[in-house]
Amino acid sequence: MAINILGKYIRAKYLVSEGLFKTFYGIGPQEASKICARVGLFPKMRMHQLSEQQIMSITKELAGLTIENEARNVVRENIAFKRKIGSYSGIRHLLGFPVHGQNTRNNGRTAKKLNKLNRSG
Amino acid sequence: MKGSVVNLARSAWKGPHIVPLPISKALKEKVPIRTNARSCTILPQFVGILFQVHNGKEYVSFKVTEDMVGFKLGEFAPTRKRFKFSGSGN
Amino acid sequence: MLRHALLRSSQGVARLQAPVVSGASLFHTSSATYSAPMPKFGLARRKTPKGQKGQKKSKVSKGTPGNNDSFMEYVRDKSISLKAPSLASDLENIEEIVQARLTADNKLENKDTLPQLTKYSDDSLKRLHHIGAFQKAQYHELFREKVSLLRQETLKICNKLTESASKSPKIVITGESGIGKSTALAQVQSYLMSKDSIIFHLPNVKTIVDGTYEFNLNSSTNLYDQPGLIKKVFIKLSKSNKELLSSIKLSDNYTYGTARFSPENHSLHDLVMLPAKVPKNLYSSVFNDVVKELQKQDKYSVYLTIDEFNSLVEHSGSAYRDIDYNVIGIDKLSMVKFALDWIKGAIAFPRGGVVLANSSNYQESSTFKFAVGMEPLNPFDETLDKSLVSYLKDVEVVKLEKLSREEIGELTQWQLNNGLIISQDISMSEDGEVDVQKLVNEKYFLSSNGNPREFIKSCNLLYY
Repeated sequence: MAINILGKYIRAKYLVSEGLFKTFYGIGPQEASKICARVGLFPKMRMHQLSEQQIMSITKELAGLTIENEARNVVRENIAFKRKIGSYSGIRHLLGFPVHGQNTRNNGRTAKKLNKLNRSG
Repeated sequence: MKGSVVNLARSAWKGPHIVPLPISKALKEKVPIRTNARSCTILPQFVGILFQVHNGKEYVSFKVTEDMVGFKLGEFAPTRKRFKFSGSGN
Repeated sequence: MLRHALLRSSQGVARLQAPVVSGASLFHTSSATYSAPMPKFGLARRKTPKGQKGQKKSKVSKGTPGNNDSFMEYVRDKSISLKAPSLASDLENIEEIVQARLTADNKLENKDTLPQLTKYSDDSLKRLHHIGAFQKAQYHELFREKVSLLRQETLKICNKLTESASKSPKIVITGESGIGKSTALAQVQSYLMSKDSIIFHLPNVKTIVDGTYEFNLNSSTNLYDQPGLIKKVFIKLSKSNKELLSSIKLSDNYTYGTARFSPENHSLHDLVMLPAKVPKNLYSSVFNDVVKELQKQDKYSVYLTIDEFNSLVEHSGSAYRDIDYNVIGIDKLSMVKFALDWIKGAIAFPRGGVVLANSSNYQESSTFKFAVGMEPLNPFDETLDKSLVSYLKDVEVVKLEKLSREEIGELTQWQLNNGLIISQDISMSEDGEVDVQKLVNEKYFLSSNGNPREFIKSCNLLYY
């Protein structure tokens, strides 16, 4: 069984806060529990215990936040800005290398996977 | 100014890392500032000045724009070249 | 001796397969069983089938010595308590003994027969089960009947409660891990039950503050209600005090939604049963009315009992957050506020009192220690909660002490007579008599100088 929030399916057995921050890009544990507090849910509430109305108010809260593609776009804009001014970290993103001074002789797989100008995750 | 660059790297109470440079002279006479101080924070007063920053071998010249404020001078003078295979030699 | 040799010869294999056998023989009542031929589990070891590497891991982990959890897991897994012999049939009821002692002339001074092994009467045993007085890690559950040790402190508490019932004494039971705090509470509860008193027991108090229950703000009281908790408390209250509550007639008409209660047709028990007609948002007003009814009646004394009380007041804030993400203090939760008010004396009943028991699973916070006078004030302690201190000021501490060597001796003799100590542990003298004094000294040392849980473990569980 799964609960549908904003077109995403969340496992029914998850805690509400847990389900929110595991599902949505741009929401962490803190923000998720803040949403729960604002809606008036108790901390150990599970996804399947949510009523229709509570799901609606969670959706309303989420609509006011920068999440998913909006949040990803913020990251992309920041990288594009650094590339534009020609700073060191912008160049490293362009080359697909680690930014914070790690070695590149071995490893550096995460950077090779993620560091792009049009970063996906 | 990029707040995070300053805030994350350095205590706020210290303020930006300032190196004495001949700013007024450069602005008046439109001459580039040649410097080895790569760790100098770019201040709003630097905007429009041509800098020549040492990268370990030579002086890389670039013009400071408004976006660069808050970064360090050294960030715009890369110290390493990208490795390339050439046809002759290695 | 034969058994000893067998165990030794097959020690390695026995570790893997023995638990069932050793578990079953843990509670022999006669020594005859020991000399009977044992199954040769060590010799016929099955080869592991192809493709399956190694033995399947047993569910029961061995754990480290003194690990209670792994032992309790083991006990549950093998349902040892069902195999255990009936030992309590010849024991006396705890309530009768306490009653006899408290009415006797010499009262508490006479220590001749204490500590004494007792059983609960059938009636109070049932009620104790209903309120959940028996916890998982209490070792008397190894036996089929709940056998427990009556100690001086229990008598002391019972005496205090009955002597000054109109002043509503407040007592908190403390002591080290395994010393018998929960058992003492159960004994007091069972005694109070035999004296026709209503036990208001708050179960699993940690769950009240850790965010398990739904909550909503009650605008009239400005407190947070937990309807699910009220329902649960009422279930315990109605089950464990059914007859008493049924005999109390309502003093007023009550209407909640479509549910109507009148003095002619309904007793307090009907109200506590909380019919499905009563809407959820009115549970708190039902609760208030029940408390009011209990305050009005003069038939029975009413006692508040809480086990693991220190878990409730461990922190001054609960896991709940309000709309602005501020922590909700524990005294903002209506049920905790009710309990604290009772402890403080702001809510009073014609007769009754408060009995609390601490748990060693949770810390005794500095606030608690200072409030009940276990510690002096530490002016540099930032965690001290002054409002909580004002609630707990009048609580009296009863600290359970370790058993003396003589008491351990009596218990060892009882265990020996019932065949509960395995023969390989007993050192015999030359003429075949059991060297009791040596055994007692051994047990006293093994039980860390008189801890009852460690004692029972050392007698019955060394096997494991």
